[in-house]
Amino acid sequence: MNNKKSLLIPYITAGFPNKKLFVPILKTLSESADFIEVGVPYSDPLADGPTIQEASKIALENGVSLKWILETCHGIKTLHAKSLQQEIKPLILFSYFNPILQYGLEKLLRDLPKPLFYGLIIPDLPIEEAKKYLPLFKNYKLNLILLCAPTTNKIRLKQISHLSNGFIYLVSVTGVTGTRNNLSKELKNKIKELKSITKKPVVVGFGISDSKQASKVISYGADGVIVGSAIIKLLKENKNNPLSRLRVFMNSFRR
Amino acid sequence: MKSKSKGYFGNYGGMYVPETIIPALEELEIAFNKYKNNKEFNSELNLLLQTYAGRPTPLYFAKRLTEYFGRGKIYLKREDLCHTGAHKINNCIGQALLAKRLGKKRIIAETGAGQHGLATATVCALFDLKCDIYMGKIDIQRQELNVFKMKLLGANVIPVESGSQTLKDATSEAIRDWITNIKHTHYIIGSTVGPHPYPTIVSYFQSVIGKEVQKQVSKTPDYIVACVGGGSNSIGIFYPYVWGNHVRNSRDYSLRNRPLLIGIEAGGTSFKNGHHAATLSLGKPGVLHGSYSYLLQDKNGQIQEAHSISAGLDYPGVGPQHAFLKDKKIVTYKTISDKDALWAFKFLSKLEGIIPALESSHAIAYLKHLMPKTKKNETIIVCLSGRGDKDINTVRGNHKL
Ligand SMILES: Cc1ncc(COP(=O)(O)O)c(C=O)c1O
Repeated sequence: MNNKKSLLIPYITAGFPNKKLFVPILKTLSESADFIEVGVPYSDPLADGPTIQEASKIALENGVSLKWILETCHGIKTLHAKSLQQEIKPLILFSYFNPILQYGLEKLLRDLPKPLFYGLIIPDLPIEEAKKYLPLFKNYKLNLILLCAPTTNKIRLKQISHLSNGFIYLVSVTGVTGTRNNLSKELKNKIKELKSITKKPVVVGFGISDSKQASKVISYGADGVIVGSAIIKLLKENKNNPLSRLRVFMNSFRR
Repeated sequence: MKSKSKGYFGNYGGMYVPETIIPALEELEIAFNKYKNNKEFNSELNLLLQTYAGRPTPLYFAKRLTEYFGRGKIYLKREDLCHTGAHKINNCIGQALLAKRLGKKRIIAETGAGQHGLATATVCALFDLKCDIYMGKIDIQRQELNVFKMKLLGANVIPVESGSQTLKDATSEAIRDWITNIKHTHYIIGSTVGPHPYPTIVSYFQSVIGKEVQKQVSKTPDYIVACVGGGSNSIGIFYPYVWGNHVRNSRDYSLRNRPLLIGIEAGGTSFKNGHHAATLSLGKPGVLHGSYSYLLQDKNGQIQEAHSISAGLDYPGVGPQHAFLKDKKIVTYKTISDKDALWAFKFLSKLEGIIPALESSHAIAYLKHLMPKTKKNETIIVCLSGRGDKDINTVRGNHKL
């Protein structure tokens, strides 16, 4: 992924492996990332494989809630020195819909610190349900980033890319999150199809675990990659020096 | 009934699922709308319901039960006499016929009590489809007879060890499997839950229960009582009285000639969090497994664990149609405790020679509260959704006979 213009977007589950590391992880990731996806832990993450399911469970046991994430992020904005705020790259809140519903969608959009937060990804909110909320996102100047899947046909691709804000998230595999050894053959065609429909940036996620796969996806024409389960795994396996290992891993994408 | 956008019942329902499965839901909706009025489809469905599932099921006048209470006349709708021992088969036959027409070669399902898993395994044997059933580890223990039957029928039973290891987690795992194998797999959801069009499809295939009742009674019954897990046997028996011919063209849901419809939820051991599965009575609206409905959750929107002695009611969600019917006050929802359900299990066995499923026992137990309010000339119909053989171990562990 030597092309500097490609977007590198890591995903973390907020408060995994513990609450204390949340801000340090954001800082470390900001050294190399363009955006950071901040996952809100949820009891029933339908689109996630075992790795993120487990991280979610641990974060919940650590007492992480949407409220805690907001408070901590406001802390970044106000308590810490200005420099820290500038140090942290724009954040994208990744949350299943129910925690958002119970917090209140409009309240959340109002409460998210801006411009620290760039937008939201809600994996269980397809366009059918998302449509009615789009004006709210506009009001609060936050992007609702919509997802496309390998199963999405051309008509829907057009609708989704028309409605999606900021960029378009293309799910690379027919499946849930988790690292994969191989990228599917259809991915190349799907990226091409999407790029022929829209001028908005297309980022590819689910299953991208190393720089080799990332480079391949970029060579297919994608504008960026999202790396999730691989980071969660790394944080899980390196309890002693998570930040330095994270730095090395992230830098491998920029070489 | 349909307001707002697609698949909504008032504010409830919808399709809150990852994009990956939306095309399959659309495909399913199109197939359902095409075949539900198709002559050939319906004759195949009806023939199987008659000659394979054993329909129509009898509406039995429970004389001794009626005498015991000394008030209104009690009738039991005998879904326990269906092939495989519960109403679940009605939905499975219908959905398997749809799956066949969609060209799907593999079926997955979630199961709690094992009755839906068993019915699914049965239709898969019948139609030569590969069958994988997700079942919580705890439910595998408490419903071991059904696990054995499913395996005998050629199904693969996959234990689910995440979360509460019961129906909720089995459903989540089944959805994850579907996301992964969407092209060749059909997911037979076992109740009126899940994303649109599932609640509509399942209630349609279960509406045969209520349509038969309409033909079997000489006058509109005064009360209909059914247990509510996800809500399929209850919606099935309520169906004609909520959405049938005489109300179809009417916006007035409070029609005078409707029976009093009562749904019974699992009250578990107490009304404390984690001790019950009384989703409609004690829960709050939210999104679980693809639809907006009542659910058991904490203030942060995390799903809470349910509890019921009966595995088929042990679920923190409920179908969106019930949420709608509750808010509109068309159906009244009550709870029955584990203890009272156990009492009813034993009571009906001794009094009528019918061993009810623990799920159905909740509906029977409610008669204790209902009957004193009824008059001699009134009729009460209880949906006996299944038979209790599967629950013998649970009851043996809880009760001295
Ligand atoms: C016999 C029986 N009755 C009732 C239920 C509850 O489901 P529903 O509310 O969908 O009828 C089950 C579920 O497993 C069951 O096996």
